[in-house]
Amino acid sequence: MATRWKRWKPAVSAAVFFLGTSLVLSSLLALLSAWLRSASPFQLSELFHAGSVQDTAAYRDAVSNRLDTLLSMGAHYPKPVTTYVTVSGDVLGLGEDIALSIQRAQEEAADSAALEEWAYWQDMAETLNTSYQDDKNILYSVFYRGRRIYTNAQDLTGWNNVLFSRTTPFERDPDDLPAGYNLLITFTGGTTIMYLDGARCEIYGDGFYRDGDWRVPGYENFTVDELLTDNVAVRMAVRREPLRYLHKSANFLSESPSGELYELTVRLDQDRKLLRNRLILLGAGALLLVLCVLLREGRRQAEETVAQWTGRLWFEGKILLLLLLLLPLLICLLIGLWEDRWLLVESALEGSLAAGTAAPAFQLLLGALLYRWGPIPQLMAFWGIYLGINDLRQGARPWENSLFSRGQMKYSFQQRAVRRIRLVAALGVLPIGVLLLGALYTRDIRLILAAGTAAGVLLLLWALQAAGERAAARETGLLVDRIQAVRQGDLSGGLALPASSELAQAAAELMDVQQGLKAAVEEQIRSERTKMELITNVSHDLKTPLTSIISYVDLLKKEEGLPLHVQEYVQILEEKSQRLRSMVRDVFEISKAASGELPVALEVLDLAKLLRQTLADMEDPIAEAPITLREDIPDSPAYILADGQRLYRIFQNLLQNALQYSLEGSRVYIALRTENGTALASVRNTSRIELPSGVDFTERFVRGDASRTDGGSGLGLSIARTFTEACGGRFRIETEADLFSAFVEFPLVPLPSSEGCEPLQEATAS
Amino acid sequence: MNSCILVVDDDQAIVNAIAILLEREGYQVLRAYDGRQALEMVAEEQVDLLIIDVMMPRMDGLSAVLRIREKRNLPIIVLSAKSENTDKILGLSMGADDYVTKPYNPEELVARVNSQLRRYTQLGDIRSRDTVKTYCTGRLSYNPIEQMLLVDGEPVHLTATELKIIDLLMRNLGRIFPAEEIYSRVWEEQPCAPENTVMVHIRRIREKIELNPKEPEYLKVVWGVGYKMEKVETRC
Repeated sequence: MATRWKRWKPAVSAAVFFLGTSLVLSSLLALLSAWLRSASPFQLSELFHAGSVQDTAAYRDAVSNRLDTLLSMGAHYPKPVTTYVTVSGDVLGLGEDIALSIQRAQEEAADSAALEEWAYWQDMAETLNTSYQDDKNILYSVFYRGRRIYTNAQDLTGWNNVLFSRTTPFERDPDDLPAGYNLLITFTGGTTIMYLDGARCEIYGDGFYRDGDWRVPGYENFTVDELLTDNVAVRMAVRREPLRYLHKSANFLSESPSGELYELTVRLDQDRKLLRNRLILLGAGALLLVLCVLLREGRRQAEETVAQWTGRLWFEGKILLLLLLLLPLLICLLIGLWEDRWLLVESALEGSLAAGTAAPAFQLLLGALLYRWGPIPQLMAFWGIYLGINDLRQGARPWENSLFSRGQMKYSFQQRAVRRIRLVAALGVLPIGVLLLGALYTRDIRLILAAGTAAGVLLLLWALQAAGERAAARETGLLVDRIQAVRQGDLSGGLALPASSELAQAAAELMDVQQGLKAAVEEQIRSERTKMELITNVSHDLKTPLTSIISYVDLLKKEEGLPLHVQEYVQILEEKSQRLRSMVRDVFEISKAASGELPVALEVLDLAKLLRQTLADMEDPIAEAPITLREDIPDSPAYILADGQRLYRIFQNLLQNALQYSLEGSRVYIALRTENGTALASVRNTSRIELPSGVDFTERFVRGDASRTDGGSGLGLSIARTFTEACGGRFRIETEADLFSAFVEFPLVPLPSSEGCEPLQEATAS
Repeated sequence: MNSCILVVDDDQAIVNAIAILLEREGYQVLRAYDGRQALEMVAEEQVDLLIIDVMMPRMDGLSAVLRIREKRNLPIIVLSAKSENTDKILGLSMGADDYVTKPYNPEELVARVNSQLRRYTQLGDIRSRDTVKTYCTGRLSYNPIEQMLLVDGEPVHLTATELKIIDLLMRNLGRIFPAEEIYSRVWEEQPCAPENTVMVHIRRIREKIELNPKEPEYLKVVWGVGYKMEKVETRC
C-alpha cells in the first residue's frame, strides 16, 4: 500500500499542482480582466449583496434615464410658435442656461432650420412613446400644463385609468399602485417625489447631487428649465420584478425594444452566478494548492522527472515548443491591439500631454489580453514558461543540448560534424526563405500553405538528419573514450550503445576485448599476489633461524675466557651472519620491487642536495677507503620527483660499490649535470680487477669478481637499477676497460613553490 | 627490585637467547611459547614488560596484545620478522609501544627494553611536576628554559653547538630544515659547505639520543631536502 502510494505520489502531486494552479490562475485572471474592462454594469459590492435589482446603481440609472427621456419628450410637446420656442436640442441638456436658450430661440425663430429641428425632436418623442407602449415595466404618463400628452397606460383598466387620466395627478395616495408595482415617481414643479413600497424616499439628502444618488432633477446642483418647471409633469410606476414583454404584430413576434430593466435583472442574476462560480473555482484551486504544500516532496520528484523528459529535447525543439505555447497569447495581444487601435492612437496622442488619460485604454487592452478565449492562451503561456524555468533549474545550461552546440564534442571529427550541420543549416535558410517570401508575395493562401508545409517538412528532415549525425558523432566519441580508457588501464567501465546504433557491434566487440583483458589482468594480479606471499613466507622462514644465529653468536662473543682462536672463529661467524642478514634484506626488497610491490613516496627534492647529504652521511667509510673522492656537484638545485629514501639507497649502493671495488689509490668521481631538462648523476671509478666484457652488472647476483669471496651480496647494482626505475628514472652502467661508470637520470621538474621550508610529504621508509 | 620481563616466541632458541641477554642485564625473565600462554602469565604473574612475537601458533601476537591492552597498561615490544612499514604501523596501532624486526640487534633490543621501562617507571613523575612548556616527542623531551634534553627522563650531555641544533629542531618538531638554514641559525654565519658540517653534528647527536644510530627514529635526514626531528606521539 505504502509503496504503491510512493510510486503514484509524484504523479498525483503534479496533477494536483497543475489543477490547483490552473484554477487559481484562470479565476484570478477572469476576475481581474472583468474588473479592468468594467465588464459588469454592477459594482462588486452589489454582486456580493443579496439585494434585488432595485438596490443597484445601474437600476437607478436606468430609471433616472427613463425619467430624463420622458421629461425631454414633454418639453418638446407644443408645436413651435413664432415667438416662443426653445431649441434645447440635447435630450440631456437640462442644465443649459434657460435665459440663453430663450434668447437663442428668439434669435433663430425665423430660421427654418430651427423649425425643422424642433419637428425632428417631436417626431422622436412620438417614436419613443410608441416604442415604450409594450414595455409595461415602467408605466408612465407625461403631462403638459395638466394635460396628458404621452402615456403607455391608457389600455390598462382599474385605478390606472383614474390615475393616469387625471389632469392633475399629483396628490394621489402612493399606496394605490397596480399589483406588482412598488416604485412611484412623480415629477412636478421642478422636484421629484418618490415612493418605494408605499414609503416616501428622501432622495435629495442634503440637497446636492453626488455620484450614486438618484440622478433626477431637483437638487441644488441639478436644476430644471423654467419651461419644464412650469409646464411638464411626469408620473412613473415601476414594477418590482421586471418582466419580459412580447408583442405579436401581424407579421412577427417582437420583443419590446426597451426592456432594459428586464435585461438588467437578468444580467444581475447572470453576473452573480458567474462571480459565484469563479469564486468557487478559486477556492477549489486554493485548496488544491494548500494540498500541494503537503505534497511538495512528490511535486519536486515530478518536477525532476519532467525536467528529465524536457532535458532530452534539443534546445531548438524547446524553443519551438515554447513559442507554440506562447503563440495564442501573442495572437490575443495582436487582436487586442487591432480592436482598440483607435482608442490607443487617441490615448497615445493625449497621453503625450497627460499620462493619466492613457490609462483607461491600456486598462482595456490589458483586460482583453488577460482574458480572451477563456483562460486558455494565458494558461498555455504560463505552463510553457513554467516548463522552461523548471528545465533551466534542474538541468544546467540546456543550450548545450543544441543541434549546433559544440559543448560535448571534444574530438576533431565531432567538431567537423557540428561544422557540417551548421553549414547545411546556413545554406538551407536561404532557399526556404526565398520559397516562403515568394509564396507570401503572391498572397495566394493555397501557395502560402503549400510553401509553409514544404518548409516545415524540409526543416523536419534537416533536424532529423542533423540529430542523426550528432548521435553518430557522439557515439563514436564514446567509443573513442572507452578505447582510450582501456589503453590507460581502466577496464571497469562499460559502454552500452543502443542496438540501433551503427557502432553497436564495434562497442560490443570492444567490451569483449575489455573482458578478456580484465580476466588476464586479474589472473596476473592473483599470481603476483601469490608470488608476494611466497616471498614474505620465505623471508620469514629465513629470518627466524638467522635471528637465533645472530643472538647466540652475540652471546658467544660476550662469553669471557674463550681461547683466542675460538674468539677468532666467533668473529668470523659474526661477520658472515651479518652478511647473511643484509643479503636476506636485499633479496626481499628486490623480489618485492620485481613484483611491483615496492611502495614509493614520490616528492619533489633536490638531487644536488641529496648527493651532498649522501656524501656527508658516508664520510667515515669514504675517509677509511684507500681512494680519493672527487665531487663535481653544482651549487644550484636540481629538482626532481623521486622517493628520497630509495634514492639514498641507490647512491649509497653505488658509492659502497665504488669504495669496495676501486683500485687502491685511484680516484672516484661523483658528478651531477643538468641539461635538456634532465638531471644526470654519475659515479665513476677504476676497477681493482679486470672487468669482464659483455656482462650486465645489474642482473641479480652478478659481480665483477667471479670468485664471490668478497663481502657484497651481488645485489647492490640490481637494487640501484630497480629502485631508480620504480621512482621513474633511468639507470645505466657503462664499462670501458677498467673504467666503471654508473648513471642515474631523472627528468627535472619546475621549481616547487615552497622551497623545502614547509614540511613535505614524509618519506615512508624509516 | 628487578623488573620482570615476559618473553614470548614460538622458537624456544630465540626465547632463550633473549632471556640470557636480559638476565645478564639483571632482569627477571619469564618465558612463554604462544599467545594464549602469554595471556595466562600476564594474568598470573607481576609482569613489567612484554616482548612478543607476531606469528605464533594458538594465538598470534597482535591478538594477544589487543587482549592484554584491555586489562593492563604495561610496555609491550613486538618482535617480528615482518619488516614492512605497514606491519609496523599495524603493530603500533594495536597497542604495542615499540616494534623490533628480526633479526634484531642484541644491543638495540636491550636499549629499547631499558628505555621502555625507564619511561614507564620514572618518567611519569617528571612529567607531572613539570609546569614549564616542554617539547616532547617519543622518548625525548626538551626544556627550553633549562636548555636540557631528557632521553627516557635522563638528561643528556650536549655540546653548545649540539644544543643549538636540538633547540632549533625540538622547537619545530616535524619541520624540515635545509642544511643552509640550520647552519646560518646555529653558527650565525654564511653557510660554507654546510652539508658536511651539519651532518657531522647530526651523527654525534644521534649517538647520544638514538637507540640504534644507524637506523634513527628521531633525528632524520629527509633526503634531497634537509633534516628534521620526527614528531612521535608520546604515550603518557
